[in-house]
Amino acid sequence: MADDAPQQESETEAGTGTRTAPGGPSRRRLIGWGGAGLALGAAAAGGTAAAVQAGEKPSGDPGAAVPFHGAHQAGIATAVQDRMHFAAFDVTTDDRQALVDVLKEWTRAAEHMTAGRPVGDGAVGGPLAAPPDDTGEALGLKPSHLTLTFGVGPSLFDDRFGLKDRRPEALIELPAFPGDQLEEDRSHGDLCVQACADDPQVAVHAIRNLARIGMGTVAMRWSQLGFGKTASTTPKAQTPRNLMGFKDGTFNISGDDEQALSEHVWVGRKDGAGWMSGGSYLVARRIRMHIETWDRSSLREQQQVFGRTKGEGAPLGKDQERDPIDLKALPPTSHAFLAHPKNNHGARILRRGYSFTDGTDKLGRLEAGLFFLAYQRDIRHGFLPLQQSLSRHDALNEYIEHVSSAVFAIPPGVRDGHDWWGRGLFEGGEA
Amino acid sequence: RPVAKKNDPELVKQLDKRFPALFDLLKQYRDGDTFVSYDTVEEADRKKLSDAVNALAEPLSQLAAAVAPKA
Repeated sequence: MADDAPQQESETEAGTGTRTAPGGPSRRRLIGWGGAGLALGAAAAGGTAAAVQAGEKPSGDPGAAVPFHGAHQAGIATAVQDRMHFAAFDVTTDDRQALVDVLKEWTRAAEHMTAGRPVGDGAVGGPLAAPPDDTGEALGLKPSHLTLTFGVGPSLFDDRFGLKDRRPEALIELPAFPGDQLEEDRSHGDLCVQACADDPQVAVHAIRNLARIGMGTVAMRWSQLGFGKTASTTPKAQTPRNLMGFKDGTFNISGDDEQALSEHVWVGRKDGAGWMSGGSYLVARRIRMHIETWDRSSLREQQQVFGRTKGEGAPLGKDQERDPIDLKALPPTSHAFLAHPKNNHGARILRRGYSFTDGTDKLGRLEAGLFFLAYQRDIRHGFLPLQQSLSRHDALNEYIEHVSSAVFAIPPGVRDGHDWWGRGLFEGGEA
Repeated sequence: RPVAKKNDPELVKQLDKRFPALFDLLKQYRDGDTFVSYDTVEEADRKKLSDAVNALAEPLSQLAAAVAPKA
């Protein structure tokens, strides 16, 4: 009886604190099923391809896997992948242990999926009478540089889970900015997962399976698909264009720039909450573009708005994209002028946003824009001052609208197979 | 149920929690012998109901395998 042998293994392996479910097959024993899953995955998905170090340029192998474990979570300094599926979840139970169990199961599933392996018993390996553990649409697909990045929102630190006094000071709620038209249903969230991959099907598969694993403990609050990276963390590669036709993210923090990363992105040991050391803070804002109006504006106007030329992406007054900006040559209401670190007390953020086009609205206008993602060591010295300035003065405001907003604390990396997303937060230790 | 309990007691425990959770939630919408009309249920409440149904439906979908005779 082929089913019995793996079950024996998992009885002993699964003693590490996750729920054991003796008897029938169950997704709950992902640790024990790792062996079987690997065999299925290797056959189906081309196995664990050569890993790409986080922050390096994409290797020659376009489908490679990005290592999941590390001091920092992948998907921040990692070279920006082509597609994104971002999801925010609310916890629907007051049961702290149930939440912890889901986080553990999520971590194990993330380890599998980022390695190109299916979840649990796989998509077709289990008994016919049971719904498959993995939904199957990633079978045969390469890992595609999938990264899964997990975060917790301020709302998690209420009375439900005893986390109130572990909320980092830096995890602020953003104030209302002039021009905000925020939709509550698409904003905030107790938890988030950012799935980025070169293959959209791989990113969607990841979110879908995590959502399924979490049912009954967490519920999807909102999610956003993104195509088209804007901003890159690999300056040698061509800068991508946003939906306004402009190169976006020329002057962004590079995934290789360890110094800038530790200064502006990674939370330091002494920054406050110990459990966040090596993590970061994420601001996610859905920014709608009034595409039709923008498309009617003159090229001169467009360049004045951004402070760069449209074709080359050079700062106004210069020739090349990467020429250093001469602030005196830029209109004081241009985006590049207002966002420059020199005008914001040195504030720098790591941008990692994606374009979106979610069909059309009721008036037939493209529901297009930028799903803006910014990682920083401290929102109070990053996005907050930047947006305070931009929202008041940026010429770009005439063409955009912020329609959702969320902030999350992104914990440090999962170290190994015994570690799990949020362990530092839930297991006490450094407060 | 006895077969399920023998084969997958964790599953039964979970179902024992989630069935009543859903029914408790539904109680709020009772109107005498039946329920209130769905169009009086607000968006946020609809989501709560949907989440509770999802919470039950997932483990419930495992039940057939838990009672199936082993190969």
